[in-house]
Formats: sequence, structure tokens, C-alpha cells
Amino acid sequence: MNRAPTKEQAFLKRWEAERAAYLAWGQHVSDRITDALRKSIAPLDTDHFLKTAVKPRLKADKKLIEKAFFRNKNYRDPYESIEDKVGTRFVVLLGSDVDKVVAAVEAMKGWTHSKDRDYDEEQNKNPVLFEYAAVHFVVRPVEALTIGDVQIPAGTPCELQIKTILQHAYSELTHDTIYKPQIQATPSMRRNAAKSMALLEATNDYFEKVDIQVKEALAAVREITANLSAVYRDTVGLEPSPTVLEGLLLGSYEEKAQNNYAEKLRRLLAEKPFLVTKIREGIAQRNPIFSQPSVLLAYLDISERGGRAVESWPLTPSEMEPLLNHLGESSN
Amino acid sequence: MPLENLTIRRVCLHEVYKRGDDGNVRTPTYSNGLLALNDKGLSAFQSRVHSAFKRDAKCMEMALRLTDATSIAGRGVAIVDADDEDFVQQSRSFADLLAEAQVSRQIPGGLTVVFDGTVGYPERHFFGIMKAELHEGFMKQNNMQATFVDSLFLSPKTKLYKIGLFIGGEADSPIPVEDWKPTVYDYQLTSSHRDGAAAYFHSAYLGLDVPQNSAQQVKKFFDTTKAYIKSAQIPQSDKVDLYNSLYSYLKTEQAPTVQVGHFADTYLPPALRGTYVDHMRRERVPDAAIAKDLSEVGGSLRMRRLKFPSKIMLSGPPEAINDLVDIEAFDTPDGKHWTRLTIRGAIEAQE
Repeated sequence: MNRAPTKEQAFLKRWEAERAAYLAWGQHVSDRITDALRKSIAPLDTDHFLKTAVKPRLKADKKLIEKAFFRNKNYRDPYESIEDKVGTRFVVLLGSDVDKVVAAVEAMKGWTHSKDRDYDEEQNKNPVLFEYAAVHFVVRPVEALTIGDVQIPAGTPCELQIKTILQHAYSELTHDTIYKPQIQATPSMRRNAAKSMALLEATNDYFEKVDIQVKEALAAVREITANLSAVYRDTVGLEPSPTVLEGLLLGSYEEKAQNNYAEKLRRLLAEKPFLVTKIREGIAQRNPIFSQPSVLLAYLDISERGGRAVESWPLTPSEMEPLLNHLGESSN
Repeated sequence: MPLENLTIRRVCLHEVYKRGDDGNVRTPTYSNGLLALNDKGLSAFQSRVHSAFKRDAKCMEMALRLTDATSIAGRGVAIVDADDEDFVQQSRSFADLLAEAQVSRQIPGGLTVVFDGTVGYPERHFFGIMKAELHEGFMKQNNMQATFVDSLFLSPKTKLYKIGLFIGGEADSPIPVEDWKPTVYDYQLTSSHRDGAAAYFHSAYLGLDVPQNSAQQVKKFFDTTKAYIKSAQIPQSDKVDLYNSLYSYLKTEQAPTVQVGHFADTYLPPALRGTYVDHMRRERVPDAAIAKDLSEVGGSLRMRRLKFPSKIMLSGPPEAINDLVDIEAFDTPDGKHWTRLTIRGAIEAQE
């Protein structure tokens, strides 16, 4: 005798059928936002900006059933009402970085987005409360779309969490994996959690201050790199790719980047165009020194001071030897 | 004479030996092909060449004496145009000539390295001949053992090599042999103990002479350096020291050559070196070492003169001024520039 399926069975059957679409939508959302960020934060790369891997996660069957039927949520249509069947998370360093991700989400075309949580708003409403803070969105495609061979119906929800690494640490601490809802949080537990949140919020404020101070201190060097990059682009015809080496070289050459250094460099490269060829060869041999805009200042120093330029070179003399050789000098 | 934009095209090695006990030439061992080096090896070889001709290296611009077809200059100009196979074949004669030129058993064997390529901008052809002596050393093995080897050459710090470099015309406009510019790097040529030991390489072998116009070049070095000191933005008392240095560099130093880079590094404060070298270059004083022929400056070197207002003059032999006279420039409280002279000695006579 066939018994009608229970409501839980019916729920899971539908979930079974649609799970792949949800996962594909979660992946799509993760990828699109990461792409959008890549453009807005360049030259920083997203691996550096995003502090955890962005990976869509499906809610486990057991958790879904619990949420749908056993947590007194009183959903009229539990399946549709649960909007975090798939979720993805962006963790960044600073509160100001959260704003960048939010801006990327809000600028996205072809999606609807509703902001479910906004800690700024919540804190305005209740300024003396310190608890879980994050920005949550639910995003849905306006029209059905196909990704690979998976059909994603219009309106499929994906929950998006955006938080700082400090907020993330707090949610890891108070996450429901062990406690909720089986145990009641004691006043002492809640007090300690609130104390840590307050401390984390203050920490974020200091982080932001340090970040601004560092940026101010680097402003001069950044301007030099920008000017050198312009000369590099115009003369070498390639896009420079400054790495940590650029900072190291500029640490030594910042003082030399004075007066009309950009003009001097253009003149040097016009008089000795073979240096451009040597830079291109260096890049072809995968020597990262030649991709730094400040390699130009090293050449300028050698042209002015000959082999003594090695005194200002922050790396080893043998690493400068090719540059010296190009201008007929040697550290040996 | 820095070699900017150097590209080495081909390199070929042959080995020459010191003369046998009977005084006869021993036949060199010839290579059958070009030297094949990976990128790193070629960079290291280039680096050795650069190190010999860099701004302050002891290299010397020379004058061509032998330019016929059997001379090094004649053969070199021909080998630049040879294809690779002929290059290898013709470069053997460079080893034969070196073996012959090494007339004494005192002269060690070594490798003759013949190489060519382009240098400068616009690019000019060049060919070079290096004699690299073999030396001893150890080679580390993976198991922390070591092997003794006696066939090392061109280790960076040993300087056990001599190079003759001949620079010709631009790539598409050849010039006659006589117009190629030879420069020699040879420690023995510029060291203070220059003697017959060096002559076999640059003279007997390469067919070059120490240039005749050295005397003029030394005079130019002297005059141009004086002009630089005169116009330098430094206190008068520092200028006194620099003039003293210039006189003693030319007169008392034993080295047989003078050289802009060497003088700069030895006597000038670091802040002035760059502008001095630039000044000398603008005035076309050679970067390379110049044989110290003092015949045209001898007179100027005998007496050092300092002039003061109203025709007051201090003069004397440079060494005496250096040793016995303290010259101190100072400003009076009302802003006048005065000089205090201390002469360690009594007045011997006056009129």
C-alpha cells in the first residue's frame, strides 16, 4: 500500500531535484562578484583582498528540515521561505573593504538583491548592543539562465554574507554548530560574547586608522611608481607589473626620484634605446626586476654614477650585474 | 671605456702552451666548434668583459702598429665577416700567433678566446682576443666532498686574463683596418711594475703600441682636471687639497698610467666623482688609462702657484707646499674672505 509522502519527504524530494541549480547559482554569484572586485581593487589582487576562499555552500538536508519544520518558524511555504539554501561568503580585512563588496553587489545587472542585514543600520537602531555584525543580501536572477547544462529558474535565491575577518572570527565563535538551539546561552556567555564584539569593533577602528596612515606614508612612493609606470609604458610599450620588489627598490631610489627625473629618464631612453630592448629581453627571461617601473631609476643611477651605483642597489650586486653590463659597467 | 649595448655573437676557445724545454713552440690544441654557452654562462662571460672595460678599469686605448693581412688586426677584421665554420677555422691562427709571441718559458700557457659581436649605439662591429690563464680551485660535490681542478679560467676576482678589443664601423658601413680602435686590458700593462712582461701581449702578439700622443692626453687630463677643480662648488681650502692631490697623482704616484676613474675614486670626495667624470667626458678626455708621459706637463708640475690679491703670490715645489704649508680660508666677522698661511719654516731671505 502506497502511503502519501510526509511533508519532510516531499520537501527533500524537491530539494534533491533542484539542488544542482542552486549550487550553480551560488557558484555564478561567487564568480561574478569576484570578477567585479578584481576590476575595482586593481592593482591589488582578489586572492589578497578576500581573506577566505569564496565557495558556495548548500545547506545540509538535516539542517534544512530542522529549519523548515522544527524551529517554530511557522513558514507558510517553508521551501520558498528559506532563502539560504545556498549561500556564499566574502570575508575582507576592513569595514571599508565591506563597503567595496557591497558596492559591487549593488551594481550587478540582471539580479535583484535585498539586504537582509546591515550592521550599520542595526547599530544605529540599537547603539549600545554589541552582537553579530555582517551585511547579508539575498540575490536572485531576474530571468532564468543556463550555466553549463544546468537551468537556473528566475528568482532562485542565494544568500550572500559580507563581513570583516574580525566579524567572521566572532561568528565562528558563536556559531550554532555546538550550542544553539539545544542549550540556552547563559548571561555570562552573552556578556563575554558582547565584550569581544565591542573589542573587535574598536579594533576595526584602529585597523582603519593604521590603513589610512600607511596609505598616506606611501602616497609619495605611489606617485613615483605612477610616474615611472607612465614612462615605462610609453617607452617599453609593455605594462609594468610592480611587485614587492618595487617597494624594495624605491626604498633606495626614492631620494633620487627628484627634480625632473621623469624627463631625465625619457632622455636617457631616447639616447640609449637599446635599454628598452634589454628590458624586454629581461622580461622574456622571466627576471622580475625588469617588470618593476623603478628599474628605470636604477639605469639612471648607473648612467650617472657608473659602477658605484651598486652602493645604492638594495639587492645583491650579482642581481644588479645585468643592468650594469647593459651600460658597460660591472660590479666585479 | 664602458662597453654599452654589448652583444657577443660567437666565441671560440683554443689552448696554447708555454714553450717546451727546448724553447720551441708547442702546437696549440684547437677547438672544432664554437663555444656553446647557456644564458647564464654567456652572461658571466659578458660580465668578465665588462669588468675589464668598465669606467674605472685599467684598460688602455692603444695605437695600431701592424695592420697587414697576417696581423691580428688584419685577421680580426676578416674573421668578423666569416661564417661560423670559417670563424672556427680562422680563429686557430690567433692561437698559433699567441704561441709564437710567447717567446719566454716564463710566460704561462692558457686559453685563447676569440670572440666577436656588436657594441655601442648605433651598433659597431668588434672582435676581441682574450688570453685566459688557467688556475686552480675546488669544485664542491653533492656529498660534501670536493674535487681539485686545475683548469678553471675567468673566475671573477682573479683577473688572470688579458683582452685586446678592436672596435670597427657601424654594421652596414665597414671601415678600413687602420681605423679600427684597439683597447687593451692587461693588468701587467697598467701596473706599477710594467716591464717587458706585458709587451709580448699587446706589442708582439696584437701588434699595438702605447699611443704616441699620451703626452698630449696627459696634459689634457691635467688641464681639464684643474679647470674642474677651479669651477667646483667647494670651499677654497678643499680646492687646495684637490690641487695637491692632482700634483702628487701625476708626480709621485708610481703607476705608469693616469686615468679619470682612478683619480676620481682615489682622491675625490664621493659627491664630486660623478660630475667630475661627466666633465672629463664632455671635454673628451679618454675614460681608459693613458700612459703617463709627463713630457708636456713636466714644467707645470715643477712649481705650484697660489695667487692672492694685489699680486701677492706663493709658489714652490708641489711636495713642499703639500708638506710645509697650511692654507686656511676663512671669513672675517664683517664678511671678508681672508686666508691664513702657516709655513713651517723661517724666512730665509727677503728683499
